[in-house]
Amino acid sequence: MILEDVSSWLVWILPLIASLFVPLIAKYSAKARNYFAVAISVITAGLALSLVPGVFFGSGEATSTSVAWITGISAGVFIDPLSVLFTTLVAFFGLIIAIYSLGYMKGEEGLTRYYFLLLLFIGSMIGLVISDNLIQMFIFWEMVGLCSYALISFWYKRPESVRAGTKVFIMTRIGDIALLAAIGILFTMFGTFSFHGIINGIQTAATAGTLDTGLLVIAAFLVLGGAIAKSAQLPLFTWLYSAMEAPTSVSALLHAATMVKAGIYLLARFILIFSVAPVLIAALQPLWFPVVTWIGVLTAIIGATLALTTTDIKGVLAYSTISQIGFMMAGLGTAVEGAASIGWFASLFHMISHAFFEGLGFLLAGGIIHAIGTRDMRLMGGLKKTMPISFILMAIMIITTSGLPPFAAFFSKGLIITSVTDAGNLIQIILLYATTAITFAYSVRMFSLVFMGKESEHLKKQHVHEAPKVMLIPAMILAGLCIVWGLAEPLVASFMHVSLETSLLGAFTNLETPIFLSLLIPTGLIAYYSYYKNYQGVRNIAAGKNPLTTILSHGYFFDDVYGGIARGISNVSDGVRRFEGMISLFPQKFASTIIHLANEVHVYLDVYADKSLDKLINVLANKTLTGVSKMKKAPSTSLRNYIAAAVLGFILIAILIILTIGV
Amino acid sequence: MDFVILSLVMLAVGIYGLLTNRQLLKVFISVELIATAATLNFVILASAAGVGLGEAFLILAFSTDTAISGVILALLVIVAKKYGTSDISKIVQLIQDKDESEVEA
Repeated sequence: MILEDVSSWLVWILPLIASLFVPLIAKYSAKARNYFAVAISVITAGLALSLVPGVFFGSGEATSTSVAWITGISAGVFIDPLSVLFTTLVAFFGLIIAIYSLGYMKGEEGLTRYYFLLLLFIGSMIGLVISDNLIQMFIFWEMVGLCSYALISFWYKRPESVRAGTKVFIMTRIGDIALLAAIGILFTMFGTFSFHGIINGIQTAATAGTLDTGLLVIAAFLVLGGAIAKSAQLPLFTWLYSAMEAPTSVSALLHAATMVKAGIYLLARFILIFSVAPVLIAALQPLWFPVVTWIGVLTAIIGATLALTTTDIKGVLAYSTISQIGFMMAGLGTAVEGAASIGWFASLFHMISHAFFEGLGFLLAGGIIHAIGTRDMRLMGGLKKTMPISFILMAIMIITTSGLPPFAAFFSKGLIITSVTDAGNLIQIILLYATTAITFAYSVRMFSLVFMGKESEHLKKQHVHEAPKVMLIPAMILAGLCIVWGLAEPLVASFMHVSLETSLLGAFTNLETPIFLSLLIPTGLIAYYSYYKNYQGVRNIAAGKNPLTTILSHGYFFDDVYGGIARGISNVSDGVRRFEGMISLFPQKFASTIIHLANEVHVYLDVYADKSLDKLINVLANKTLTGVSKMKKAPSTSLRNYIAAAVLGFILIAILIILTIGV
Repeated sequence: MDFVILSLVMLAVGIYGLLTNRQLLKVFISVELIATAATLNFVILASAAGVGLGEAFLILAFSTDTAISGVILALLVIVAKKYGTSDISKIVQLIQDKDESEVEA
């Protein structure tokens, strides 16, 4: 028990403190720095593993230890199946990525910064999932965001990287604010930040019948907002595609274990907290849970369709992640009974299988990018001969992604589909099935474009080589896990202290499997003939200009709308700035006019007043003289005319005078 | 309550300044105004609640804020020296032009 206490603290403190030593060690030797990071990851993974038996053989109840930190707020660790599951996954993936980075990041500049941030990232993510109160969790939540920002714009000399990092930071920040608001609501309601305190508060208020469910529903929606931004769900999912500017090792870590999984953790944790009071669940059931499922289902299909069109190999994987996390959200949306419902376990189980296959995909994509120096799939092709090991591993990856039996995602995705089917919304079910079919299509498309066909012109120019061993071995470990992980389902269920109604064999025999598999055939065939056999029919439609391709190439116009909003704000502020400029000029103009006037008067008095009389007389005299001389020269007819006009004028004036005086 | 309004006003002025100004230094001052408004709000509410935490927080917030200001000012000086102007829109224009020329090259 003491060992567990110590390791539950060390598992997140060690990477955080060790990250500070990275720059110190780098002073002596670059190699020592790299191996130091790997060593710390190994120890962290060991510490995380040491937590597993206690939970596996324990009662499944949450235990927490805490120390006083600030008055009223304590710092502590919260050990239950959920947190240990995440801790183990993050620590394991940290190790995989640290080893992979030895090969992938070799010879890059700024590796001290890289390893510092990597350890900080792992430490903060473990801290996030193991915190026992909301404030501590929120601090780590922000640290995860900061680390991902810094790692995504790791190549800071490339403008796209910097832009992507900034985009990630701003978009996830929207969710952070929502989460902070939720924490504020929960604190005002229960007067505590700790999970145990909030659970007790909900239970006490529910039994006393004083629970303000309305406010808690608002808090639940705000929590959902936080999860949406962090997990790249509708409508804030576009950042994940931009985040592909990161080094591939970082992308793998970001997708598989840290950052995007934080949102899933948050929702799973809050569903556990909310499910202690049936009253509260009843209040959440009409709106909150359906919204979660809808967001998940819609994100799943949008992500999958976008993955069909992108030409960036990492882009396919990014949209695939968005789509798969949509599946997890859909599963969580059906978890109306908390940990007792299939949806809750299904989404967590899928979360881990997704970590394995998506991580594998990224590690392989990293190897390919490393070898040929581009991310554009149109420039690839025929890599089967030159990269045979990657070819086999990628085959495992796409089979797992598509959910073909008996690999990991077959069981986890099947469970999610079962849970959504049980929830019984027909449109959601159809959309999920459609997504699985599209998933198969984009996997086949990627596979064919990269590995099949003829070598492209781009590849012929360079010497393509298989990835080094240090990059292949982590990928092989993940590939192995992809194959066997599904069979571990009963073990994981008993680890999570969840009783599953379906057995492993049941996954093969229930009604969903034949539907699911038969749906894969048509889309798979289309993708096979279009990209593998190079049959042009579908490809021409995809390359042509029609409403569908317009929508897809613009990513459903989400980024355009956000760009519009940003431009609108910028325009408004520009307008306000101009208006302000006008107003601030007004007093100045006024003053300057007065000064100008005064000056004129002064000049007039000074210069003209003296001479004006002389001048006036002169002018009059001159005018008379010139007038007279003109009259002299003028012909007689015109003189007569003058006189006639003068007489006429005189008569007119006389008439006017008579009329006005009224004689 | 008056102080809460004061902090709100400071926040509003800060946001207004952030939106309308293009000078780096003015933007920085606006950011500082917002930060101070947040700190002020914290301290007011803490003192209203009668918790000593507010004072501790004030000192913490001021010290970190000072450190951050130091770093930001140093960055501003570097940026202004590098681009020869402290107008944000001009700097953005310069960076974009540079990007485009790099792409062309």
